[in-house]
Amino acid sequence: MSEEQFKGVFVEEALEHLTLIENALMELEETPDNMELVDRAFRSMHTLKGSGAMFGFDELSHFTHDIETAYDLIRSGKMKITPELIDLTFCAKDEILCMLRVDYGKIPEDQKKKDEITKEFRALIERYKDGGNGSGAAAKEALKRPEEKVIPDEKVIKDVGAPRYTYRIRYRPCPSCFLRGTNPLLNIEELAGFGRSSIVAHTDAIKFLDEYDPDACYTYWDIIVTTEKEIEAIKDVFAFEDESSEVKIEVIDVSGELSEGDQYKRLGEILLEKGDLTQYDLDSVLGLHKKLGELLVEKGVVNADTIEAALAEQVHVREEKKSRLAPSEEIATIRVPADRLDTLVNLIGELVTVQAHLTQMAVRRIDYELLNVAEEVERLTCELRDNTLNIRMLPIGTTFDKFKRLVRDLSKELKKDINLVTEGAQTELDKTVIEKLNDPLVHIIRNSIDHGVETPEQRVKAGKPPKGTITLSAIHSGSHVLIRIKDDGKGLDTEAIKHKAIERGLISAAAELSDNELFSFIFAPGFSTAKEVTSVSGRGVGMDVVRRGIESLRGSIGIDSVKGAGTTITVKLHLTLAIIDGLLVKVGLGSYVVPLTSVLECIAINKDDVDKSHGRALSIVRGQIIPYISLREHFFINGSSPVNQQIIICEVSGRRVGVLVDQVIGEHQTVIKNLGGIYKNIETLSGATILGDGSVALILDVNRLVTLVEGIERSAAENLNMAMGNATCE
Amino acid sequence: MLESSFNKEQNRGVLSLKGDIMIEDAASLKELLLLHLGDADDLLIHISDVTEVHLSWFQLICSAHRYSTKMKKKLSLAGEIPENIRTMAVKAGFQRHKGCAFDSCESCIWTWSQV
Repeated sequence: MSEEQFKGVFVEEALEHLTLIENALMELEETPDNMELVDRAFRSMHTLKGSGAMFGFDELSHFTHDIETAYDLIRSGKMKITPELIDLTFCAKDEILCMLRVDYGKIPEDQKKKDEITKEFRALIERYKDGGNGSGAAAKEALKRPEEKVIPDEKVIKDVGAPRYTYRIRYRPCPSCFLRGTNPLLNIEELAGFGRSSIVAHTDAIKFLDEYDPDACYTYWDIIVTTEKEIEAIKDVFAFEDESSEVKIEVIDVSGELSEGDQYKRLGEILLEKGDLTQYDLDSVLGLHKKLGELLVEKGVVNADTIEAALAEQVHVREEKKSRLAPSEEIATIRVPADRLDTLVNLIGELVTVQAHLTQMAVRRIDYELLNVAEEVERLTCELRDNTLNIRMLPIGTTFDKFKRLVRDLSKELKKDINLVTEGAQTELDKTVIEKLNDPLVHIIRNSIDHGVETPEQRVKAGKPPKGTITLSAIHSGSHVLIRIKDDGKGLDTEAIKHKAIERGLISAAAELSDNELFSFIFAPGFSTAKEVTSVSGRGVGMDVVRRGIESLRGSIGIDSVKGAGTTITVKLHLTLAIIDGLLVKVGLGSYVVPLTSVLECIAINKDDVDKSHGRALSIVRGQIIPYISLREHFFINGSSPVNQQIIICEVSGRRVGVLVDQVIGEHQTVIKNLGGIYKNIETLSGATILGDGSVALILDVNRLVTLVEGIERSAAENLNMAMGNATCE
Repeated sequence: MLESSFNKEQNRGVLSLKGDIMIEDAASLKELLLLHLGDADDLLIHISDVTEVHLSWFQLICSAHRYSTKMKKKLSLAGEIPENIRTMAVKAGFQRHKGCAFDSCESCIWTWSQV
């Protein structure tokens, strides 16, 4: 691997860590006391710092060091999470992203910004490194979380190969142990020395001071320890324990068991297993809706120490399982350059074509043995194709997550309070589709925030909650995925849209249009009803580009809106761009594929009907005039057309337009191939495919075909008008 | 050997402990705590000069704290807690997120935020 390739790997991993940091910061804004999130952010920064230094990103490594130090202060309780710190960390994260791009020469460096951020972090570190204002701060710092203090570094188990046992030990020393000179703490320390441990002292038996026997040991312990040592070693710790002491040792987790994963028993299950709770008590308390632990303590069923011990066990074993999961996750996934996947898909496509050829041959020769083989090859090829296409599928959640930051920042800028809810994040789409979807979705969400969702004051006046909601959802629907962006804002104003459309000459004043027809004007180039252009939106450029972007993915976009209630935009996309469902048609000797997503219906037309229209490519279908484009004329195909032809009626930008062909063969699913550099300027074709007989079929881009033909006809009409105008003058 | 001194200002008492507090000192410390809790509504226990404690000290302080809550009085640790005692509290599993059922006013000595 070359140095550049190594750097590329680091950049990819760094981007993932930056996403983790961003997500952790978003959650910390809601729950600033959540130390697990702080740990998560810290670990990512630590990795960025170390890996950055290793791969030559020295600036990045130095920059991240101060942020890491600041978050270490938070972990140690010397500093707290504040909104200002979160904002500063967001800026730092953006700066790290810039640094990754700078190193690749993509954008110029902004040293001043970096220095400002570094200065602010260093000021925080200087202020809080000794615990803040000093009064009681050192004492506050003292009692750290038990799981941090109890694990000496040298005891951390590094060998993931040997089995690790997690034991639950209930240790109730003899009440008179102090009188005998026994110190239970020595046993506990010995156990803690075996490995990672969590210790909870039960104090429920301690009497009030006036009844207290100073020589008695009232305390008993629950100890969870993870170690490679076998159970005999645990038992040996208590070998000299008095008979009246109670020691119960159980194995509660073993590495390598089938039940791998980071889940462990729930609180109720742990308490039941330990005998601290009965099923009856559990059931009766679960009938209420507070947290189980709180309820059990409130009802006096168990004491707080018992809950503490059960929670400590739960956390301990979950972390143990999680730590075992991480190494095997690395083994279970492997990074593959995207272009290698593309090559694989191409080869599969070739294989599909050859397989189709084989099947045709077997059928023609009526060779049953060969047919059997061809069927088997077809089955395996389909499975191979489906598996290969699945490799390119990624959950759309990675895209959704990015929008949380967008909504947060934009809401702040526009002084709105908006919550982004995502659903269906696990819905998978082709990698290329996800990448190309990003920009259109960004624009739709920006529009929602800028023009849709009102300010808190406006919302309260309208009887809505002050906080607006934008819901981003994805769901599979057959071979498509539906992505919906729904807001609870003010909705589209159909009157304003109609007014604008009339103003722009798109419709007459007397035109009666349905809401859906009016909404479609949003996608017209330059169309905007915004009273002012903001830095966010309003120029009328975006939705046109959005629609074209979606259509370039062979998708479609629709709008639904209720004034005062909100707007829903639905984007319908293919799961993958590599395969197309189309209608195979013939014109002369050539074959073409019309994408099925565009096709509404096919109607027959004969020569007489064509002649009756006197050169105007118009057909009447159920009382509606449908213009059509003759592929034979458009592509200058020689020869005469058959007596009976077919018009394939397609939906193009909300209108019905026909495509005239000689013959419709039928539905055809095929792997798309690019036409190559020579043909890249042919807008009306989106690719090609190889049919079973080895011939090539061209895939039509119906939208662009219609746009091109309309443009040609408009130019011709304008030229004619000019010529007639000149003739009149003469 | 337990050494102690007591100061009182109005209703607040400060019991300062010094030196080692072993199992043999538990009985006398119990009596001291009972005495001073009877005398003051708010008792601060200073342990910054304590050098070593036996495990029983933790449960004695727990007992005293519960008693003070029952008597509607206040008892807390004050001053800097010596490092070795802090470490011992954690090792012995006394540290808590929340106080026990007797801790009606969230004054449990063993929660992180208390000291």
